[in-house]
Amino acid sequence: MRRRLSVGYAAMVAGLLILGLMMVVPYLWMVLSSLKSNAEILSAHSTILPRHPTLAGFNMVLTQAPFFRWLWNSLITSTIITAVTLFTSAISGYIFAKFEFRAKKVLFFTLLASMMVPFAVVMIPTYLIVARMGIVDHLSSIVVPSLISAFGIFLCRQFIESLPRDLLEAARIDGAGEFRIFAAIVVPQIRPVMSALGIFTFMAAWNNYLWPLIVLNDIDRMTVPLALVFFNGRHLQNWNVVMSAGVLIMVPVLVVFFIFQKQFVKGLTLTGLK
Amino acid sequence: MIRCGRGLKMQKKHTASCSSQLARIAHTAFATFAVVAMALIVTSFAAAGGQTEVTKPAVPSGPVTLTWWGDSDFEDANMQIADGFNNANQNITIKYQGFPYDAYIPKLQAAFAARQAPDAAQVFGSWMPNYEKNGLLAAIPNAQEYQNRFYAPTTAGYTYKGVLYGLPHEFNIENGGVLTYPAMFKAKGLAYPPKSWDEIVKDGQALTVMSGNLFKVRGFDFINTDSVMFLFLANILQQGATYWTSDGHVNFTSPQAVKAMQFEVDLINKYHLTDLSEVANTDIDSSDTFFKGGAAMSMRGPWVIAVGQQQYKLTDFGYAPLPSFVPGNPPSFAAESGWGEVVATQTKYKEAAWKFLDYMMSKPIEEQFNLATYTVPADKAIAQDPAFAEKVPLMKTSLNMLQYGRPLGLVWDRDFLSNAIYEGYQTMVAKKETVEEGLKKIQDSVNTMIDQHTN
Amino acid sequence: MHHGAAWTSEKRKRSVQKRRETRFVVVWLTPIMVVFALFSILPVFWGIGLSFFNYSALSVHNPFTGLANYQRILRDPLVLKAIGNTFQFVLIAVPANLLSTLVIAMGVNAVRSRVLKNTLRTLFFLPTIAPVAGAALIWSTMYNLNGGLFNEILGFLSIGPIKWLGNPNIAMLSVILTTLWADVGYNIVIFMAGLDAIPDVFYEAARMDGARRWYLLRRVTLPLLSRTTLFVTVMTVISYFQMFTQVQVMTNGDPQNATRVLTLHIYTAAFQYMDMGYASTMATTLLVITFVISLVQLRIGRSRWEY
Repeated sequence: MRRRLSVGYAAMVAGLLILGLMMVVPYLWMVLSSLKSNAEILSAHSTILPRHPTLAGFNMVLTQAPFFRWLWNSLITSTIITAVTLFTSAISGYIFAKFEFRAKKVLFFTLLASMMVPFAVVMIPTYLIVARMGIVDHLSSIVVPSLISAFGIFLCRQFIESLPRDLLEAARIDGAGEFRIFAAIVVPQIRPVMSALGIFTFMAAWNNYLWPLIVLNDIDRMTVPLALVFFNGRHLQNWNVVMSAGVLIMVPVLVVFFIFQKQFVKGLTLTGLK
Repeated sequence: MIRCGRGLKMQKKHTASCSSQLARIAHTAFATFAVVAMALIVTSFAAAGGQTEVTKPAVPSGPVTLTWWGDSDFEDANMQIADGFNNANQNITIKYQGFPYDAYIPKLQAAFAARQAPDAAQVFGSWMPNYEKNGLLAAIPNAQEYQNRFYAPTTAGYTYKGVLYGLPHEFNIENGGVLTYPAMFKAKGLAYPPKSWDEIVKDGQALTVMSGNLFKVRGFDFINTDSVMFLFLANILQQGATYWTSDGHVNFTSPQAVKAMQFEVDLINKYHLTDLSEVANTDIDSSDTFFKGGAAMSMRGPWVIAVGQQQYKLTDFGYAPLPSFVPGNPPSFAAESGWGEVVATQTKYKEAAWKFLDYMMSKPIEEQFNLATYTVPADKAIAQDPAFAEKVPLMKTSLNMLQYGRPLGLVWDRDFLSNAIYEGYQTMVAKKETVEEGLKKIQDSVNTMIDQHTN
Repeated sequence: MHHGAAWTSEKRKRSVQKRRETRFVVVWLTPIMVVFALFSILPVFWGIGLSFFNYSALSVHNPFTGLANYQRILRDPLVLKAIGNTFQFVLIAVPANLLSTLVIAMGVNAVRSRVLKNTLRTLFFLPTIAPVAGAALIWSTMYNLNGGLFNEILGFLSIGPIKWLGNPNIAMLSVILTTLWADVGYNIVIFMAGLDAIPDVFYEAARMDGARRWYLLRRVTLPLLSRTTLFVTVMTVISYFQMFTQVQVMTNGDPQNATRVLTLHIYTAAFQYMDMGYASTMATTLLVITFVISLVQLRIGRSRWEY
């Protein structure tokens, strides 16, 4: 059937494009601000475009903080967290979706409930646990508490639930082991979800700054988002530094996003059974 | 036999019979980890109470490394101190780490709670009463000698039940001075600086510039959590009254307090010198408004001078003294204890820590710190030294005021106090309650908070 | 007929199968749940337990106070206001979020050009990449009374400036707008994944029957999207009850406590006032509210299934 380019369609696309571009405006503001000097940002007559573009903000972030060290720390911790979380979420989501056991309901609701408590309240108890484990001021204190994601388990469960049982039964009859069924059949089916979860998890791990700030003392162990708050004193605000730090923090995440996007798209087109 | 998981309906009906074996094992697994979890909880609660163990004072023979935490605002000054000390002492190495103010508060708490505290820490005096009450700080040896050196308000926060637990770097004065643009006064032919509050009000009205309903230039700005509170308290003190009762509670409903608060409300509602439109803007302080040309007079502590000079690179502003509300009475004001140094009881290296504190409190190092951070000295000798004043001419106003300062008092949670007054002030200005009602509310909530801390 | 023999061997096969399934569950779920118990459940129980004490992290002596903290909440106008503000936030922001993300996801999904589709999805997702604190800072400068982007634009159109964050009636809406900007990307991506999981056969079959677009929407798309919608709804509600960073950075509760949500008050109580017991009480209350609402949602959502 031939599809004609209707006015409605064109209007919709145009509307979406405009809306999409508007989403980007605050970013432009951030990038433009990062190129201004602090005095210019603070002055009463600030313009949109920087009058005297300067890299002073970037310079301060890169030289006054061990930024590349922090980049490395962030990369390691975020990657490990993402990889482990993807695995545990997928397999737990699969178990919750396709298996029956008596504790299931209780466990699931506990999972859900754990997401409903504000961080301020669990922060000190978590710190005390981490201290008793002896890993305060180590990178493992960033990784270990974040290995299991209730959000991830819930998300995978919702998507795996809709997988037809016959598919799994057929593999069982063929004599495939349970883990093999999981790895070879379930996982490929939920690629788009895993890609999305991967991006979300990486971003959350990357951008987390309050917990690392509390649990890490040594400046060489810190992670990248700390740069955002590190130059903020009680009275002195270094705006251009904060903006520059923000830009620098985002770049690796953008890269990861674009990598995962490709997987995301591939996953969508490879949905075999559909 | 019915198969498991054939369909939703079947699943619901036959779950029990189909997967009983599965369930039993999973049930045991769940039960086990539930028990383990509960056991952990119980032991943790039990163990959480054991914070009073005093660390055995070790006698360090070999080289010692002290961890020292500070505020990242003072990064350069602190690095200077650490380097200086390290160079002069071969056996002791100071490992310094600075933290941003907002995160420093919870971080310090968590560290002390989990026995991960630094050996020495640069802290803000008002945070300390809770630490002192729980025996987390080490008492200063030779306390008497230090007490005499410093102004009373600076050591008040570091003192608990008569024992001194910390040494101050600065006099945290938020009163007594006002940012001004002398040129504005000159342009309008007004005498500078204003010598009475009547003059301030009149000058403020003359210097106010409106654009419709919005302020282009505020005549007299003071809208921030500190100034609103300290202006109020100073007014009470200058009338010769106090805001403390004999049993450690606050009294904000005395006639002097009502008069003081009414005056502040009048500054907005009657004299129209400023308004509350910038209240919610957390990234702009009233001093920023001033430096952008948005105010003719702006009340703030002397630390703003450094901001104006270093961040905004301005040279045409002044810092004039604020007169007393009651002509003839001295311009008394309340001040809390500011940044200073403490040593944790948990430390293994008390001797080394005291050596470090002694170094920091030596006159040349204290002066070095005050100059580098543009803080008002806590040390009377430095503050009254004319040579020091010459190096920071705009600070002279504040230096001359220090003698009138009184300790704020043991308020336990000064942020609670300033928030209560600030929020109450906004409601009173918005006429949602009268001054008497508003003050009673503030008084009650602050006293409840004090009771929480003292039982 | 070898009924008996066939019966037993099938039974054996199935019990072997069951054992395999059991082992799978136990081997993989138990360690995961143990780690989860240690870092998620234990701190939560601990945190909840604190609400029955007058607890300060620094204290040696933490007296047991039973329900006193809960009684305090009932008498504390600030906490009650915070709860009200939180509900106000959720009741406005969640429907706004769900509606806009679903519409946008459907719109982007309908775009035929792959390049355009991916570009649009990227554009809508970009705001979520920025650290929330940074984004909140930028938005608060855009909301500035003098010189902020929005008021500059309004001035251009000869409209008077709006006190975005200064007017107690508008401040909450401004924070919601920022939250939506930073947030819609997630739900759009999830909805798009859900939309894409709907087999084309359903659409083709319906279209063969001569169905119109509106019918397609109501009878095909929405029902088949129901699992995704349920998930998105529950997660968004939970997330918005927890919302904290934006408010702390942009308004810190002002003006006149119009934007003081419960999480902000919890943080203030825990770390500024060092009143951890009271903070835990508020947190437990928040937990109970969120939990009940989520349960209700899940129950409603479950009963509406038709696949």
